[in-house]
Amino acid sequence: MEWIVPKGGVEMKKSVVSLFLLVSIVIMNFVGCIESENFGDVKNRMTYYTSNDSDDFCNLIKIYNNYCLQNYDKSYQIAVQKFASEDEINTKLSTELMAGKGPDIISINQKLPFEKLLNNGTFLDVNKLCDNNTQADKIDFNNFNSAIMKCGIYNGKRYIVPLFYGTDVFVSTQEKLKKFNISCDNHTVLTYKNLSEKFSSFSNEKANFGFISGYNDTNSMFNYPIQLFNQFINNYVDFENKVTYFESDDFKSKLDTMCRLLNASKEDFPDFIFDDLYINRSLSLMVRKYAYYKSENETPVICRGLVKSDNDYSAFVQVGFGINSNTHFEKQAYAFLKFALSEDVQTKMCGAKGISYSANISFPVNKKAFEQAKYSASKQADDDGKIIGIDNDFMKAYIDIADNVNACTLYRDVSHSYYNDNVIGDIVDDYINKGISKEKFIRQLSAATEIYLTE
Amino acid sequence: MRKSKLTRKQKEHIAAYLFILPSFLGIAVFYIVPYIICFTKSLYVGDTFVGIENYIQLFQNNTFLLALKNTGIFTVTAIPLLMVISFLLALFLNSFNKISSFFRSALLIPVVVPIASLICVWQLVFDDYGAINGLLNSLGFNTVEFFNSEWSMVMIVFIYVWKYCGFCVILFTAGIANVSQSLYESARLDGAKAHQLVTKITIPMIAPTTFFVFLMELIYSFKIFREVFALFGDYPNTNVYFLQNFINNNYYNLNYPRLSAASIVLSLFIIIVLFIFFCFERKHSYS
Repeated sequence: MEWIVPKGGVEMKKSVVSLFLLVSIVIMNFVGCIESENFGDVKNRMTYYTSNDSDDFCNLIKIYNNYCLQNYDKSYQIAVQKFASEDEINTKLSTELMAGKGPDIISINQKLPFEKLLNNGTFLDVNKLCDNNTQADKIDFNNFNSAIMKCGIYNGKRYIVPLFYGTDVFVSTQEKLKKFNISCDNHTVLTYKNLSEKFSSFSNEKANFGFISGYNDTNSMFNYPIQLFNQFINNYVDFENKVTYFESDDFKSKLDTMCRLLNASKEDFPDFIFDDLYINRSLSLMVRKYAYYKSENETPVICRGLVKSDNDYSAFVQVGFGINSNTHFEKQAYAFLKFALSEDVQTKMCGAKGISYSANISFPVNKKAFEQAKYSASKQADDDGKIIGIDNDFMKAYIDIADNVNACTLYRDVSHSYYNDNVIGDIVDDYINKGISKEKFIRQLSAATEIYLTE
Repeated sequence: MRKSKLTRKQKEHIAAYLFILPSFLGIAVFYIVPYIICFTKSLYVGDTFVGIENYIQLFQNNTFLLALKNTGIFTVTAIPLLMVISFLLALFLNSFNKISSFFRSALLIPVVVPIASLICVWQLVFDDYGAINGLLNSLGFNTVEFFNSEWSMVMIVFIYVWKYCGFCVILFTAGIANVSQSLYESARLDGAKAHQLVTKITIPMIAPTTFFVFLMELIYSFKIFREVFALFGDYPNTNVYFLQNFINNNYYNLNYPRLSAASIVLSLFIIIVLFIFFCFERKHSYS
């Protein structure tokens, strides 16, 4: 130890100073880790992470932020932090939530395992948030579509708040359908069971027609055939009771039909029997679509589906969000919730009042806004000023479907969901593109899903 | 000039503490504090204190039990197998007077080759249409689904043994080389046979090396998750679903109470195994 503590003490002092510097550098580095990102006054506002700051939810936030300047103050605004990718968000989100922080608002369009998050206390119970609020005009959830709102409730707690929804429907024309002797009208329900029978005479090789567009929308990257295939798979998973039905004869028999449907949409055909699935579905836009087909001397047809049984009126949430249970901005979160669910905002966002904010939004969850949308659609006129309205079979059928929704899923872009992409994405890809056997596919699908549901 | 009141001994102590301070800070910040936080989180769900409820739920969770079983099977199978094979190889190599440096380097190649490259090779070898199945099919056997059957575990054990065997052989060779030749000579004069030389002299004398190899292999056995993950992804088939998969997936599922409880259980498992082996080593080591 002589070299450490020499008699003179000069070297000792040097050693101590060196050590002190070393410790200081280490500590400074740690401090740097904590404060490496300086977002100004973000700490005093609610935050939202996104990789796409031009989607519908971000548009809603922008409108809200402007509204705050007039009605509240800057502290009520939501700071949108943009990330390069979903993966980057998820990594940051996971780390921050673990540390008891994270963004205050989490949109359902983010690629997160919501089935799991509903169960593990990530989200704040919105019912509790409303009860804690002392304002006179409280949010009354009876004013919203209960079938849609229900999909955000888990164990009696309202964790996710859906704002807008779309319905599972197919749009085509009688003329296209007649080419293949397919009998469909506005009251037809396409189920996994009758699909094979209905389209038995459909052969895309002959007519150069696809079943549905395989086109990828540049914004949402929707691949409609894969969407349908994933929806079909999800229909055989009971996420709440953690059960799968992939081994059932029902699934096995319908799997072949779905594969045929996929193959009938894979190639780049010039035309398709059915239109794109998730765009132009607001009532006003559907009225215009009806008018367009009529002007082309075609008769548009709307079919409900694909669903498991005739009685299913299925829908999906287009825009929705949850509030992080770690939030310190409960008052502000309530203000945003109230704003997003308000009749005025809901009416505007679905294009029923003023300039449409989005072409991707179909129906508002607010019942009054829905009635407004119907009224607005009934007043739609063509270029000559002639009222097109909703008093026709096509629109009546569409409104009837939207009115009677009895099942709703949280995911619009099913293929992009955590389960369908991260858990079974490779397995589905192997089955569709690499031709693994049906038995092997079912075995792998069951194993991965069961682990995901129970772990 | 004012003279320091500290004694030489005290100065030495202070210097020693200052020297270990950076390391201690690192260990505290990156290991001790997170471990305490992890343990605390395992006792909560959200903001609610639930005591050992998360642990009870964990042991009632079939997926966790499956992961625990698979990890146990892998550890119990792969580590002894690796140790026996590498020990026998080391004995064989030790029978030569000189091992060339090329041969020593060759033994370490599997450890240093990047995992991504290894995975590509293993996929080619074990795929349904890969080399092994090609050979089996040509011999009239059915295709073995290495990636989706009980053979997956065999494949992982094989990869583990292949990868770390060379490293263990080198450690054992060094250990055996250090055993005094006079012991063997005395034993031979007393009429000991070859197997007795190994069981009565070599094995007891290299107990510290064996312990070190075991320790390293235990650590490496938990690192095999990298290969499993690269070969099978987040959700492998049920035969190779390990505790690390469970922990990793619960991290992405943001289920921190369960993740923390599983991590504590895993760490306790490792601590207990090491403690038992420490006791064993102390009792049986001749050195």
